[in-house]
Amino acid sequence: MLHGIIERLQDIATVAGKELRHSFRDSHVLIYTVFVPLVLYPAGLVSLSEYTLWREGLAETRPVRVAFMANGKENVPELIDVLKATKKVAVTESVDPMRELEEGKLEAVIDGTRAPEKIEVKLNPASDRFLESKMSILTHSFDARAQAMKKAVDAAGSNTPVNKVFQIATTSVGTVGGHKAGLRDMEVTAFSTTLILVAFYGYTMLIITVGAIYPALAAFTEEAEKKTKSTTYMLPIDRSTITIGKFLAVTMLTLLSGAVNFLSMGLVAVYFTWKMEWLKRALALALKQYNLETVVLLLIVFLLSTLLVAAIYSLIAASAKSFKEAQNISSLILMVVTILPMVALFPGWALDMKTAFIPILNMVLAAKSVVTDSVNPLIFCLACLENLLIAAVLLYMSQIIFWGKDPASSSAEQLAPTSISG
Amino acid sequence: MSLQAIGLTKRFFDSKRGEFNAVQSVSFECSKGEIFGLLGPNGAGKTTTLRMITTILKPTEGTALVNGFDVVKDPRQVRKQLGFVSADTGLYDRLTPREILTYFGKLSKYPKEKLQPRIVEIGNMLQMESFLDSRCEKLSTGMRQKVSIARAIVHDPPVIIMDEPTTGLDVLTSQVLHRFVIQCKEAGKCVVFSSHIMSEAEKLCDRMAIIHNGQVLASGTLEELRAESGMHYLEDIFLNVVKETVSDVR
Amino acid sequence: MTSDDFEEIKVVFAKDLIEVLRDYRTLIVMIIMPVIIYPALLVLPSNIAQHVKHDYKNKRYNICLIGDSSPAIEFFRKAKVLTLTKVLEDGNPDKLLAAHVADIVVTFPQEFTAQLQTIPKQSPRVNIYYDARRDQNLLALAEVRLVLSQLRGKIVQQRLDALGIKTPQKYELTFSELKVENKKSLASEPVRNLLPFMLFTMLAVSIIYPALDVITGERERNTLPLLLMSATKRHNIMYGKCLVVFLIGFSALMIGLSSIYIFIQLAGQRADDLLVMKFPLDALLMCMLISIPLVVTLSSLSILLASWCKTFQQGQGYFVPFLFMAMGASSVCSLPELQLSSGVAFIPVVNTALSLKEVLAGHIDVLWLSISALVTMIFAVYVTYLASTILDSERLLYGVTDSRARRRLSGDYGLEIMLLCFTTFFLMFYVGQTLQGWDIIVGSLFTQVLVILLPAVALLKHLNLPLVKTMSLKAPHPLSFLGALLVTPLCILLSIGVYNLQSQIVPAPEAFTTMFTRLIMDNDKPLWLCLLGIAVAPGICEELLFRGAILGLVRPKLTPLQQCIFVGVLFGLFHMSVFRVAPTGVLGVVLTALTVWTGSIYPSMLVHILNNSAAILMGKYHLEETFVSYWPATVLLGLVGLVLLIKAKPKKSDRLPESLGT
Repeated sequence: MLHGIIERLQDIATVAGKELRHSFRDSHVLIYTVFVPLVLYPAGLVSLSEYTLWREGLAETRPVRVAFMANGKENVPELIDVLKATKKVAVTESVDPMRELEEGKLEAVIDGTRAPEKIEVKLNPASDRFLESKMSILTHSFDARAQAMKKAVDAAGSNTPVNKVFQIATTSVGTVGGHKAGLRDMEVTAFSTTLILVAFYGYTMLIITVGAIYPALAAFTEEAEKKTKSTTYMLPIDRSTITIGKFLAVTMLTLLSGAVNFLSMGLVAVYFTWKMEWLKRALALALKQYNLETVVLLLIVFLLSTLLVAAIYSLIAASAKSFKEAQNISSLILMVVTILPMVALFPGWALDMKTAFIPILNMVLAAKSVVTDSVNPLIFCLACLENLLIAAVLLYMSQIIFWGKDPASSSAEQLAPTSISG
Repeated sequence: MSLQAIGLTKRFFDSKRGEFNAVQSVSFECSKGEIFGLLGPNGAGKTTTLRMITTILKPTEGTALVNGFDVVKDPRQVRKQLGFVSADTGLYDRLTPREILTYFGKLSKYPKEKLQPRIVEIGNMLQMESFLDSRCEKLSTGMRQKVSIARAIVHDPPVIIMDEPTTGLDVLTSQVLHRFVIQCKEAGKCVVFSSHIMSEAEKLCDRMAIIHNGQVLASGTLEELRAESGMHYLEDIFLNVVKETVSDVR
Repeated sequence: MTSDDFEEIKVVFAKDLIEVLRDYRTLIVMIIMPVIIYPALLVLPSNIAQHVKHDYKNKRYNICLIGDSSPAIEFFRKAKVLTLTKVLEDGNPDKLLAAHVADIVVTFPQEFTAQLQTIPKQSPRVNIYYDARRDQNLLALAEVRLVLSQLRGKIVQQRLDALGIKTPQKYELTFSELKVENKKSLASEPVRNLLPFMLFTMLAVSIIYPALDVITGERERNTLPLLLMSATKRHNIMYGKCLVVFLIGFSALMIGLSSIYIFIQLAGQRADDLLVMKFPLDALLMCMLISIPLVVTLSSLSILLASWCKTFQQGQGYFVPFLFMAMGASSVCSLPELQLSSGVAFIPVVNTALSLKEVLAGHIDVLWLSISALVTMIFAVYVTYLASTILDSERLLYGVTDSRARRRLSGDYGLEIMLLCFTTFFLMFYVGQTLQGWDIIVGSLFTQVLVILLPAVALLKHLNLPLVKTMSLKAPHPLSFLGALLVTPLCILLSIGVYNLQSQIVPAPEAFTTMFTRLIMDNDKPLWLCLLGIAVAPGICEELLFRGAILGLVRPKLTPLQQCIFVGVLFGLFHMSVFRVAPTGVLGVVLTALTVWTGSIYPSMLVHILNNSAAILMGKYHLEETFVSYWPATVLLGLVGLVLLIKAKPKKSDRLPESLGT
C-alpha cells in the first residue's frame, strides 16, 4: 500500500520534472514568466506617470474658458472672483459669447441675469471638455456661495461668529492596527485595502493572461500537436499520474510567474509610493495590518486561485487539438475571468453565503475579507473548499478529455480513469 | 538542357556545429525526358539542393538554370517552370483536393478553360476520383501524398522536382508514384528525384548523383557507376563511395 | 496594377476566404464576441454602477444617538438611508457597535440644545463612532455628516435671522446644453470617449486570429514553400490574404458596432444624467464608414505580425503587445482639442482614432477626414508589401541564420544594441532610481558610472572591439574644440526652442518645470559637486554610451545621416520623459553629427558638459530669459563656430573607420 503510493508519487515527480524542464526550454515561458514582468511594470509605470504629467500640463496650460453674459455680470461677482482666482478656469471677455461657445472657442457661458435665484450655465455638448467644464464650474460655485455668505455677514457689520456651531470628531472602533483611528485613517484604510485588492486582482489577471497559458499548452496541447501523445499513452504508468504530474508542473510554473509578477509589481509600487507622502502613510498602515495570520491566509488564497487557474488552463489545453484552438478558447475565458473579479473592488461586496460559491470572485473576496479583518472562518473555508473542488473537477475532466480523445483508448475499460483525488 | 545546377553552395550555421556548408559546389544536369536521381543518406544536402533550385533558399554561391532561367536572377520565371513534390509539405485541411488543385492551377496561370478537365485527367491518372471532393483533413497519408503530387503537376510544368516523394508510403501508393514518374518521362518532362532508397533509384533513374556531406561524390548512369566501382548493386556502389570519403576524412 | 494582378489577388482571396470561413472558431470570433461580449463590456460597468447605487439607496444603516440629540433628531429621521434604532440618554458606543445594534453611533453633549442657543467660546463636540473595517460604512458616515451639516445650516440661518442679516438664499447653478441641430452624429461624451477605444480593441481581437490563420497557418502547415514556389507575385498573395482579414474584421466590426448601438438604445438611457449614453444612427453609420481604412491598416499590420511568427504559439505571444498598441493608438482621443488638421491626419492609425472622435463630436471635416483615410490606406498597402518581403525569410522558413561572428563581421550589431538599451533601461529603473532617491547628486554620479558607462564598456570588451577606435577616442583637430565651444550656446538655444515648440502639443505641468530647479536649490551640496554630478559625469558617460559605443556599433551599417537620427532618437528616448524627448533628441542629433563630422568624441563631450552646466546655472540664477534675449549674438557665435568646424574637418584618412574588426 505505502509502497504503491510512494511509487506513484515518484512517477508524478518524474512527469512533473520532465514538463518543467520542457517548459523552461521554451522561450515563450521564460519571456512571459520572467522578462515581461520585469520590464512591463517599470515601462507601464513610466508611461503612466508621464501621461499623468502630460494631462496635468494640458490642464494647466489650457484652462476651461468661460465667458459671462454682459448684462448679468454684476449679479454674480463672487463667482467671477472665484473663477478668476483659479488656474484651471480662464474668464474671458466676449462680444458674442453664444456664438463663440458654438464655435468651440469657449467651454461655457454663464448667464447671471436672473441671479441669485437662477444662474444658468450653457455648455456645448460637442465639446471635448463638456464634463470637465461642468464639474469644474460646479465645484467652484460652492466656493462662490460661501464667499457670498461671508460677504453678507461682513456687510452687516456683525462680528458674531455665526458659523461656529459645533465640532465633529470621528472615531473608529476596533480598527486596523488595534488602535482607534479617526476618519482620515478610514480613508487611508479604504485606500490601502483597495491597493491590495487591485494588486491581488492584477495578480490573478496576469497569471491568467500570461503565466498559466504557456506551461499548460506546453504540457498538454503540445503532446497532441507534436504527436508524442501515443508514446506517452503507452507508458506503463497510470494515466492519471501523468495528468497530475503535468498539472503540477503547470501549477508550479504559474506560481513562479505569479511570484515574479508580484515581486516586480511590489518593487514598482514601493518606488511609486515612496515618492508620495500620503501614499507612504497608506502603505505603512496597510503593512501594519499584517501579522503572521493574515499573511498565511493570503498565501492560502493565492495558492488556491493559482491552482484553480492552472486547472482551468489545463482543461483548455487538454481539450484542444491544436495551439490555435486552445488560444481561441482561452481568449473567451480571459474575458469572463477578468471581468468577474472586478466586482470585488466595489464597496459593499463581501464574502457571504452567496458570493462564496462564485469561483474566482470568491477568492478575490476572500482576500478582501482578510485585508479588512472580517474573516468568517466558515464561509472562508467554504470558499476555499469550493475552489479546491472545482479545480479537482476540472482536473478530472482534463484527464477524461485528454486521454479520451485518443483513438486507441476508445474502449470503455481504458477510458475509465482511476481516482485522482489521491 | 532543362535543368543545370552550377556549383550550388549553401552555408548554414548551427550553434553546436558552427558554420558548415550543407551543400558544397553541387553541379549536375538533367535534360528533357530524363529522370535524374539525387541519392544520399539523411542530412546529405539533397533537400537543401532542391530548395535552392526551387528558389526557396538563396544559394550562398553558384546558381542553377531551369529551362534557361537563372534561379538567382529570375526566380519568378523559374517558378513558372517548376512542379515540386515533397513528403513534408502540407495541405490545406479545410479545402478539398479539387479546390486545392484549382487554386494552384490558377496561381500558376494554367489556362482557365482547361483547368477543370486537367484536374479530372490528373484525378484519373493518380486514382483519386473517389476523394476529390472530401476535405483534406479526412484523408489518409497515401491520399494526401497523391494530392501533393497532383498539386505539383496541375499546371503541367516542364520540370518536376521530387524530394523523397515515397517517404512514408506503402507499396501500392509507391507503385502509383513510380508509374507516374515514368509517365512524366514519357511526356518529355525533366524529372529530378531525390531518395535514400536505392532500389527506387535503380528502377527509375536514367542518371544519378551520389551526394554525401553536401558534396557530389559520384555521378553518371547506373552502368557508368557500375563500371567505375566494379560492383553491381547500387546499394553496394553507394556504400562503397560513401565509405571511401569517410576513410578519406579520417 | 494589371488585370493579371487583380486576378491573382482574387484567386488568393477566394481560397483563403473559404478556408477561414470553414473554421468554426473564426465564426465565433466574428459573431459571438461582437454580439455579446462587446456591448456587455460597454454597458456592464454602468449597470454595475447602477446596481451598486440602487443598493446604496435601498440599504439602511442602523444608527444610534446618545446624549441630547433633540435638535438633530428630526434631520436623522428624514434621512432616507439611515434608520434610527435607538435614542439613548447615555450609553457606551463601543458596546453598541460590538453588539451590531448600530452601524454608526453619534454622541451629543448633555446640554447640546442649550449650547446651540448661545455661542459659547468652546464649540460643543459631536462624536461619530463607526467600524472602519467595513467599507460600506464610509457611505453611512458621509450621510451622517450630511445630516449634521443640515443641522448646522439651520442653526446658522436662525442666528442670521436673529441678527437681521439677509444672505443670498440661492447661489445655485443650472446647466443647460447648447442646442446643436446641424450635428447629427453627435454622441454623448462617455460614448465619445469609450467607443474609439472599444472599436480598436474589438478590431484587434477579431483580426488577429484570421491573420494568424492565413499566414502563420501556411507556415505551420508547411504549405508556404509551395505558395512561394508558385509563379504568383508574392505581394499579390499578401494583398489577397489582407483582403480576407479585412473582410472578417470589417464584418465583425459592423456586427459589433450595431449591437453596441442597439444595446445603447435599449439600456443606455437608464444611466444617470451625467453619464447619459447617446449614440445616434448617423454616428453609427459614420463610424462604420470611417473605420474602413482603419480595418485595412490593422489587417495589414496583423498580417505583418503574422508573417514574423513561425508558429501560432508565437503569434499568440505577439498578440498582447499588438492589442496594447491598438489600444494605445486610440488613447489619442483622450487628448482634448487635438484636431486632425493639426497634422495628426498624417499619422496612420492614430488619425483614424481622431477621425472617430471628431465625427462623434458632431464635427465632420470632409477634407481632413479624406486625407487621413488616404494616408492610412497608403500605409496599409506599404505594410502589406513589407509583409510580403518577410514571407520568404530563410530564417523563418528553415531557421537558417548566419553565425554570430559573421553577422558581427558584416557590421550588424542590432541585437547587441538592443541588449545594451534594454540593460540600461532596466538598470536605470531599478538601480538608478534607488541611487538617485538616496542622493540626487552623488547618486547621479554613481548612476552615470555604474549604469551608463559600465554596461557599454563591458559590451565592447565582450565583443572584443577596440575601445579607442570604436568610441572615437582620439584627438580631433584643435580648431574643432573652439568650434564646438562657440556652437554650444546655439545648441542650448535650439533645445529651448524645440522645448517651447513641443509645449504646444505636450505642455509640461509646473510641477515638472520647477522640479529640476528645486532639485538644484534644495540640496546643500556645493556648486562644484552639482556640476560634477549633473554636468560633467553625464557629459562624459552618456557621450561614451551614445556617441561612443552605440554610434560605433551602428557606424558600419548606417549612413552618416541615419547614424545621427538613430543615435539622436535613442538619446531622446533614453531620458524617459515625454517633455524631454524632442529637445534631447535634437541635441542628440547635433552631438552625433559633431562626432561624425570631427571624427572624435571629445568635442561632443565638451558641448554636452557645457549644455548641462548652463542648464544648472540658468536654473539656479534664473538666467534663461536673459540668455534667450541675446539670441542674435548666440546665432552669430554659432555661425563662426560652424565655419571653424568646417575648416577643422579631418582628412579622409582621419575619419571614423567603418569596419570595426580587431
